[in-house]
Amino acid sequence: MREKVMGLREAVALIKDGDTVAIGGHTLRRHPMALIHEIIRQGRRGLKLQGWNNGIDMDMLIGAGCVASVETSYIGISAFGLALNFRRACERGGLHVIEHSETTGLDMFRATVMGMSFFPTKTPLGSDLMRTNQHLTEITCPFTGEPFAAVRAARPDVAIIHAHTTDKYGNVQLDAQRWNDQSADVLIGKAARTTVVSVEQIVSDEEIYRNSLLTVLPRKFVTAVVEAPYGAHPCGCDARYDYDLEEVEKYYEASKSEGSFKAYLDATVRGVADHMEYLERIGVERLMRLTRTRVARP
Amino acid sequence: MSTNKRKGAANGVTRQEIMAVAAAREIRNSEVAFIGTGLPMVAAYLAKATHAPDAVLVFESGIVGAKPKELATGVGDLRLLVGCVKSTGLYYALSLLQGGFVDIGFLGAAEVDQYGNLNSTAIGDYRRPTVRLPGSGGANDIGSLARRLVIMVPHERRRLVPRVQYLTTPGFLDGPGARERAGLRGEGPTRVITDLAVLDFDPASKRMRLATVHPGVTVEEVEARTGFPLLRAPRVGETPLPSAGEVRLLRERIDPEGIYIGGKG
Amino acid sequence: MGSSKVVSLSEAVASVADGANITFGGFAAYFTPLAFVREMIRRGKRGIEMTSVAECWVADYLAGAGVLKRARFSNFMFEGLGRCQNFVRAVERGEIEVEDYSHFAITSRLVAAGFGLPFMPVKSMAGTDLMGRRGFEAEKARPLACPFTGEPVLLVPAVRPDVAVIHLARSDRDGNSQLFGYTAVVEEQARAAQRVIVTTEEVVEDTVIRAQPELTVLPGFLVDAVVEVPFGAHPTGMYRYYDPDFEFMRDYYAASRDPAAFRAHLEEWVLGPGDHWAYLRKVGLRRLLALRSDPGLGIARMHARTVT
Repeated sequence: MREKVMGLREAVALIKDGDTVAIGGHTLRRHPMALIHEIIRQGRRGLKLQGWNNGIDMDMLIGAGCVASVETSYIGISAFGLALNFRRACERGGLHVIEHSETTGLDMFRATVMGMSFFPTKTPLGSDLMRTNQHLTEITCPFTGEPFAAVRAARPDVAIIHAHTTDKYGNVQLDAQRWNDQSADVLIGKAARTTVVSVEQIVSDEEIYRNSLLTVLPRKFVTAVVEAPYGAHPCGCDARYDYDLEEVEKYYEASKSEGSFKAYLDATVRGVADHMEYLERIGVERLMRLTRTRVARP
Repeated sequence: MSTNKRKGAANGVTRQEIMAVAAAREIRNSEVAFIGTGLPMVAAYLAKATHAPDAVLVFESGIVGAKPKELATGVGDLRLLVGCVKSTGLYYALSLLQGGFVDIGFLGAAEVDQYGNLNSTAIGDYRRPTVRLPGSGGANDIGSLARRLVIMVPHERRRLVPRVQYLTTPGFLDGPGARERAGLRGEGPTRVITDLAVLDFDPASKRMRLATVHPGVTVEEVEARTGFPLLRAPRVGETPLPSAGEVRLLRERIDPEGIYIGGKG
Repeated sequence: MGSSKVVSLSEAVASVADGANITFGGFAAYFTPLAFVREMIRRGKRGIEMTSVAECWVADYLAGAGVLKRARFSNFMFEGLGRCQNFVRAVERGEIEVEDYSHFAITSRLVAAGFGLPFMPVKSMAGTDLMGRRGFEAEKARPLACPFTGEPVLLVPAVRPDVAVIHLARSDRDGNSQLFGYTAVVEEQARAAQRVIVTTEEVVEDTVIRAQPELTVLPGFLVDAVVEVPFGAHPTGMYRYYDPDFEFMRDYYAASRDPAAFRAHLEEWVLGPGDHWAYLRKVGLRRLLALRSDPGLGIARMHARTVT
């Protein structure tokens, strides 16, 4: 069996300028931030991002100048406010935005995974989503004559997601206590040609066998795995750790202007050599305080 | 890696391998064995992998029924927990000895005397020793209470002494009947396995007695390296060599780095 | 439900008096409450008496820092490295008083105390210098002929340390505490001691404890204080959390062979860092994360081959 463990640098090198990149996670939950930081460090440009509900992940890439287009239902920082890099890019023009709802945002991946070229839904009918999103079109059911919206299958070049564990062959698991195991990240992971998964810990074969029901992405769907503890930081990671309130507030303040955001990126992302150095700057005390009991463990 | 481990290797087999195999053969199948660090651990692994697969290995930390995948470096080594049958406390493990449940124990020591008593406490005055040693640990308990005791030490004059400077672990104390008078259980030491020979104890006098010499070793050499007059068994034989299978197990699976069986470095 | 036994590490250490008789949890290179010990050294504790079985790391650190005055114990040894250099040097110089026991005998003294009995009968130690040669102990053991059978036994008296300091895996706010793996002597230590301080890797909700009561080693009513100290056993290991830091232990051992080098080690690793977080920062997150246990095995790494 092929071993798929890579370092962060090597794994992100699989992503090329102009690639369509699908990103897992939702709002402040389990975005693959360690991978995103490395994409920024490696200076990728012209990326076409896909997701279904996004936040700091897409906003940071936009602010870093990596992005040509975004296709998702939402880019915002939840209770903290708007995603200001995204907002600036939209209001100035130059960022192509493909608007979805959460349903259609997931449907586009669902279609790909099911081997279909589209997925039918009622949700966006009658809304301006139909007018502005060229990946949505109206069709008629051949049996009943009812109108449906067809959501075009997403075909990402690369998917990046963050999960809890994997063995070295790429059998990816989420803890028993987890968010969204049936859809979203799993669909995103299966839809792409190349799938890069960062995990909290690469574990033994024994651990995978012991809990085979926890496997969400069998190795067939996985190209590379990277061990990145706290790899979703400052987002939360299910029962493992909360999102970092202090860091998200700092991010939001910094994103209020281009200048302050560049300074933030230089200090936090570009100014560190790798993910471990990023974590060392956050500090063991802060990380331990975010860490929740591992209730999924025996 | 100490070079004296490779000295005197006969037929490509090290002295430590001979010791490990001799010790392994002392464990009978299904017996409960109390195990310490070092060569005893190697011997126990070998016994379980060969003629005594059902032997139950007990470690003083509280690990019962270990079936380890990898050689451990201590009696509390977490690797011993992986795949064990029961994990409990020290009192449980040690009280198995007093309850008569432990068939065999293995011990090393800084000093061994002709009655098989051991010193792992102090050289010199007890309160102001020249050399303070680690202390009894489970040694005294094992020596007092196990059904059988196997002692494993390098064969050196300064180690095999007429009388230990501090009597930590009872062999036969000062001679026949002494164990019984002190109320101790078990047969006492049955074997002493060294890098030169295998010894036992004369049933009448309870004094140490040469039983077999390892291949390439002479009786005179053994006596010269013993610090007391050594009795001889009626017929002093030769210690059986390890089989090819046993050597392969030791070198490839149990102690591939040669930490205890030597031969490397 | 409203009250909590959780206190800070500095509060817990401050509550231990100079000259106290302390029994520390842990065994050899495993689950030893060293964050607590380092804080004791930082706070200049003096004249400590240990009631010990095999807590070698505590003995050597406290001996090296000049904190340890006397120890009743069974075995102090750094398996794989050598003798406890600070400890043996101090004993050989007459700076630390000792009283030797076997594992079973010293543990039986704790058992007696926990059982509310004045003594426990044992068969160990008889006929040996563990009885014949005395250290500082006024009462160590007395021989008795069994009143039923006449069989000789030794009676070891109960010992009730002032404090037990025990590092465990997880505790709730009531002090109900759990441990993975073997438990060494912690259950007996907690029952025998007059006060029990638990340092714990994580403070959890009581529902976590109640979901797996078979893992509970100390019910809360035995525990007086709980301190949350992640990596609180470092450099010793914690089953299902992190392996021992063998590299740190080798460096420690090398330094401990020479008093001046050990003084430098204490300055750098104990007295220098102001608290446990500063110590962990110095160890480094990279190193700590590399020690993490595999959840399936409970240890950090393992070869695939099976030997038994």
